[in-house]
Amino acid sequence: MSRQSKKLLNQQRSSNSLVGPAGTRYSNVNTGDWRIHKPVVNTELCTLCGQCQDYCPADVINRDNDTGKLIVDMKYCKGCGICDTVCAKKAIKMEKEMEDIRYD
Amino acid sequence: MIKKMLDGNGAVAEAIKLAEVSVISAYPITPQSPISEKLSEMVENRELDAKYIRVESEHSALSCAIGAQLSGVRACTATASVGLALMFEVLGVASGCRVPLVMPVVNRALVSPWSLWCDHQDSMAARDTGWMQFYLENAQEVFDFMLIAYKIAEDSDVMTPAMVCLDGFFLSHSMQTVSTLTLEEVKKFLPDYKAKNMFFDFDNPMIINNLTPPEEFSEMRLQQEIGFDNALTLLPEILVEFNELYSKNYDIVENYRCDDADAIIVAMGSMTGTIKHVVNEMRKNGKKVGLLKIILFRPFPFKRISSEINSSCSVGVIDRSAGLGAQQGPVFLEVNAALSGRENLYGFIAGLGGRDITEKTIEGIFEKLLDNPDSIEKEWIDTNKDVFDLRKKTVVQK
Repeated sequence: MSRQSKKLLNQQRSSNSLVGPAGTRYSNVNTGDWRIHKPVVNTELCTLCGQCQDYCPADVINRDNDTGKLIVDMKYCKGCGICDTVCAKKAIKMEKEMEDIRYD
Repeated sequence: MIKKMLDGNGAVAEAIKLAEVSVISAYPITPQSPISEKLSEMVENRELDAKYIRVESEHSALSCAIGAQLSGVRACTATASVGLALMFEVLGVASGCRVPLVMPVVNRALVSPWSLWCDHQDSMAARDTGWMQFYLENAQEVFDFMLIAYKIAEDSDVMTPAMVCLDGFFLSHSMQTVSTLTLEEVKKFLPDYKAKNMFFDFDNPMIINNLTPPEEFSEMRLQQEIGFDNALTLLPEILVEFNELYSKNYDIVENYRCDDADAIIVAMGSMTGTIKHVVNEMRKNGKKVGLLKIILFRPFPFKRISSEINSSCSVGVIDRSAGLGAQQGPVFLEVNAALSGRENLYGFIAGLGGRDITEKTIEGIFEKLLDNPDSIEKEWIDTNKDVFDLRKKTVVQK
């Protein structure tokens, strides 16, 4: 065995780590940071039909337990705009939240 | 110790039974089908206590085996040729996630031309997938090295899957006397399987095989390389243990009358049995020839190769796969690197697609080597002169 390997073999035996692609630390990525447009709900037009909740691909629209209203979790909403597209009452509109990134 | 009449496939099935495999997901393919069939019989008559999953393809077969082994039991699948090709994508999952599967590969040519017969192209095409590879000469070696493969693959410093390669038809279907072992005898060598490193651990759950960024990838590949280096160090020790327990004489390469040879052939697989016979016959006629048989191909025992070949003899490497587009066949390239670009080293392509490697072919190679020719290019030693006149165009008659 090469000297490099021998040294690394000892390293392997004394280390407390797993070998290979193992994931043992869990964290949620703030996907809301990725947004450029954000959904704005007009609560007067909203009939609480739940279409937006059904179609949201990130599953971040939930009913509030007390008010029964549909709330978008802005920590994870990526601003894809599907809720805007499917809303039958046009109660959701996407608004620009971030400036375009310009690489000058 | 029990003597049985087994062909190569039978020897594989017997070893899998003694390794007490718990999940089988083998998809049939010529010439491996008797392995799948025999294992299903063993499960049906309770000779083997295992779950037999009827998968729809080799891709699923290996995927199932990996999942099953990660649950903490020995799992098994076996394949050949295009079956190995179909599971190619998943081979890297087994090796990269350090799942110590042992998979028999019954060597058969890849298509096209569509062949059913013996060729090393299938496992050669997978030589960089991170799997260990053994190439065996006869049914006895197949049986013994299946058990040896389990032990080295599962070692915590290795944790690398292994292909146990046996020549299609010439070995897989050749009935021979095999000294097999009882379960108690096997257990002296091969302990029960214990899942290590990544597996479905309900006490310490983990995500297995997640996306790995550039910052970590190289180190993870190097971890696998180190596993191979460890295998190269540990395998001789494991062979000593095996040899002592069962009165055998195995090594990772076999030096057959090489020490005073003027010409040596380096080769792998069932052809080595024929080469030994030719060596003996030619020696009776005063020609000093020898065979260096390679059993362990991955990791490649490059130091042993150079130490077993004396400095003055002519060396010929027989490749049982074409190595298309390369200067020489794959085994030659490894041997050449091990011998650091030695002058009297010659490469021969023979035995493709089920062509028998005859005593005449081997004798011809030895005679060429003894002549010590100027360097020759990759030589297709057993092809007919009429290379193109095979399939005639049809003549339309008016």
